[in-house]
Amino acid sequence: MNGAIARANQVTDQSFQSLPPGSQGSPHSSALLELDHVNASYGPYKALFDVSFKVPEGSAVALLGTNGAGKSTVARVISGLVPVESGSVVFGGREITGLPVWKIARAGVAHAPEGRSIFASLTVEENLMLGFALRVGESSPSKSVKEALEKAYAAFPRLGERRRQLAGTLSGGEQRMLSLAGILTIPPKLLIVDELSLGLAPVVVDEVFDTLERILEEGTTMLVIEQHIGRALEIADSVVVLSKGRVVHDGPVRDLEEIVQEIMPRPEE
Amino acid sequence: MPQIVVYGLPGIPLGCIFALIAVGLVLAYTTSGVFNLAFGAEAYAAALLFYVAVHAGWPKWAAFVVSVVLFGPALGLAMDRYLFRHIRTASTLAKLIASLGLLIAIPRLTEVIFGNAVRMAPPSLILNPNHIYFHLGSYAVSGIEISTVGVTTAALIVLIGLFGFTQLGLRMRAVVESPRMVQLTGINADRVSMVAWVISGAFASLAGVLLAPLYAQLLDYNFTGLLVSGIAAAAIGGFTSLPLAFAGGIGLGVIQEILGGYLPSGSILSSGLQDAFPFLVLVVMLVALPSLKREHETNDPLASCDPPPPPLASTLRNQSFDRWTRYASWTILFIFVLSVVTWIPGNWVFTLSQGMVFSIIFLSITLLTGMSGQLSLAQATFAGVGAFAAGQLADHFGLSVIAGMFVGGLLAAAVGIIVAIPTLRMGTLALALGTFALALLVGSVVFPYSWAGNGNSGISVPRPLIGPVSFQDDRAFFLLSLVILVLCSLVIIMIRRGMVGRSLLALRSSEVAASTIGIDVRRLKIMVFALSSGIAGIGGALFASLQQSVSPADFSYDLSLLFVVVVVTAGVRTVEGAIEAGIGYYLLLQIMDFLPARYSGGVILPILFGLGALSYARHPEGLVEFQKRVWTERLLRLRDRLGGTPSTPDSDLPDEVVIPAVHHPPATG
Ligand SMILES: Nc1ncnc2c1ncn2[C@@H]1O[C@H](COP(=O)(O)OP(=O)(O)O)[C@@H](O)[C@H]1O
Ligand SMILES: [Mg+2]
Repeated sequence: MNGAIARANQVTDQSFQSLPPGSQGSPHSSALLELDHVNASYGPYKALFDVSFKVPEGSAVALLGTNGAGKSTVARVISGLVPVESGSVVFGGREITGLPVWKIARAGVAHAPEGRSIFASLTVEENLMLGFALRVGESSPSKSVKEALEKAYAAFPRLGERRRQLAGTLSGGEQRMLSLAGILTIPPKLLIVDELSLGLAPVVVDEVFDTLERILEEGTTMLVIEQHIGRALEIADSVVVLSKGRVVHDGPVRDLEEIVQEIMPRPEE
Repeated sequence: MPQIVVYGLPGIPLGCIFALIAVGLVLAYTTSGVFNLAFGAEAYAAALLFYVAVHAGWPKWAAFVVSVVLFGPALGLAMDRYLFRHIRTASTLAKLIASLGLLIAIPRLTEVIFGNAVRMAPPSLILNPNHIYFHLGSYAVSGIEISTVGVTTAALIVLIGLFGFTQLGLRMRAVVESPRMVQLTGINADRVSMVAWVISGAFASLAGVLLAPLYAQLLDYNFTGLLVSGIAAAAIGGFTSLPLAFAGGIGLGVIQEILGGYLPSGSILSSGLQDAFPFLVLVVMLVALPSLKREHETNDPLASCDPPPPPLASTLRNQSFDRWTRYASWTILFIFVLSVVTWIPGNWVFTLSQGMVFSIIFLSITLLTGMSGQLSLAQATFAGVGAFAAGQLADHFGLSVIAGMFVGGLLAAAVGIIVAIPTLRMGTLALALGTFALALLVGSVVFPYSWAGNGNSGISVPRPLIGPVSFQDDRAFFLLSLVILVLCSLVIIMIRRGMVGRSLLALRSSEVAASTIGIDVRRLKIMVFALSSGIAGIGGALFASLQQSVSPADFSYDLSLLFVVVVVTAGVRTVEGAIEAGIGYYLLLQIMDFLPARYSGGVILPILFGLGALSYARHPEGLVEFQKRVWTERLLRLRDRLGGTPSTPDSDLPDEVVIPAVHHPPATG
């Protein structure tokens, strides 16, 4: 936890500094991601009301809330899957509101959606290749698709054993692992994980969170959506709580550990 | 050389053509989830362009560049850009209907543009089609055979390599499953599927130009017929494997030629073989291949990002709206019937009767497609079964036409059950394709027999006689059709209101959910399909009696396709829709009769209705029904404004109301 607290302090320090105008766009700007009064709807059903919060560069923010609070919708709005009705989303100093999903992904936002998120009709290896093809190269930790594949199989040996198998025939846990392997092998700038632990065995959850911790240390910024509050708070530097489509709390972890229990009366294992 | 080889050899070039179509279909299906029936129309349009260019004196290479290199891909691009891209997440049914609309509209559009002259002896792409270049044993190999086999093989090798072994191919396969998940990996999914449509368009046009010289005359009918062989070959590859579809095409061609060699020449069986054989293959494949069941319908894991579909028009109705439309329709109906029996001239009464009879046949589509979400491409064939049964029974046994009509309906229902049992289980696509093949089979190897439709000469069918009342007179017959139409409508309305209707509604929204609440999905579907074929059969018998003489050409398979787009455009969810479709279509046909042949109703109406069907995904209630609602609302609003009475709360339609998904508190703390 020391690292997390250190980072949290660093972030608070930064946010207290008054930034000179125009520094918003610089790579050292405090927030990598900033949502400003975002509203979003599914057809006639309004799901987000004036949602605003920031995710500081290099930190992990836990996004918490009960079922149906709008957590997944926030994730979808950031990655462009659900259109922003009004308000803005700024990533790395650049307005990404209204950009197509693939452009936002190329800018460095990786969104691991809730539930099954693999191509069932492709093999395990094809699933990985698809994600790697655009992200390998000189500026990335893996120089070629082949190298990235090897890395992924080293980290997730079970996937290596099943590389020729159709992904749809994997078990639920293995499918989650596959979608994670595609993202974690070449860490993105911003990682959004939605209900990661759902359907995974506790041992696997431990492993996955260790990996998340590692890439956080390596510099990836994270927005972690979890029902499993304990896990989320372990890794997070600050917390945003949603309720009925609105932000009801936004602050550092330490003040919150008890409050969260009140807002979300959910039994913890 | 053994006889079997001599018979089989010409099957190879024929099989290449099947393979070309099959591969084009599989390519579009696996990359866009659209089973692109319009492939046949694309091929025809390119062949026509090639024909027109060559006859205008262009060198063949220039004609080739225009029709295959430019036109085909451009058409594919346009289809993606303006249609299929927007309905990627729509149901299988919606996609099938859209491709059907194009299949109907495109050939007629080309006739409007290039004229509908008879086009004999289509030119070949390379080599002289009839010249014998060499002998294979005792078999003489002609130019068309060499060019077909050569071009097809080259094109397929390129395609299979591209699809199976390149990044682009991988992306194409991924886009089918979930374009949104592909986007999340940073790939522009729109671009990928655009490329797939461009390739598929190029393929269709190449197939068209290669195929054209096989027939003495350039007709879209031939291309649609070949489509079924292509579908059967594609089924051999499970609709997903390109190499298997290729092999399936060749195999189909060879076996068909060998069978043709051994069947007595000149018989109906041998002349109908090309149409009958694919049906058998298709049905066997549909039954044998469990993997076909995997439809691209609910596979997208990110489907939950879409808002729920808007509620249907009928559920949005309010009381004053209902009352208003009901008064209006009863008044119109009354004036209409009164006019028909008093002052409307005889030939118009006949046209109106035709419209009503077709309304009955169209009601069968309302029941099947509108209420249970299935698609049949053989409703004209079922109508034919009813018609010929009634006619033959009257002729041989002196059975009254009214009784014959019901026997015909039962027979059509029985035929329906026979097709429905193996195919329905496999889902919407299988049923549509199975019935399409059935229509071709029955049309060419059953209807021509003298005990059925009696070939080109057809059979005569008397007007009914009930006791002393004769319906020989057109006005009397009009009233009879009206009664039967009302009865059929009542049956459908009762089904909708009753238990079955509610089960169907559940079924249409979610089959899985329906089965979990104890609905026997399979039995229900078969029952609905049988009832629908039965109604089509009754309508067909009535049509035969109205015309007094019918032949198999009156129930040809392409008519079934037209029926679907006409009903869907008018409104497939309501009884009014079917009636508007029937009466509207045949009235318009008659009204437009004075136009020159190139712009006659037979050309313009399929274009209008075909294009209208493209909007099905957006307006499943039908374009005409949708417009009707919009205009009635406007009138209501106008009435409110003129009358000075503020619109009552219940006349506010809920489309504009924003319903919060979450019950947020009025004030936040
Ligand atoms: N596709 C959709 N159509 C309509 N409403 C939706 C859709 N997806 C989510 N919602 C609604 O939006 C609200 C927020 O949902 P979501 O973001 O999935 O919540 P969470 O992830 O916090 O459980 C919920 O009330 C939910 O019912
Ligand atoms: Mg969620």
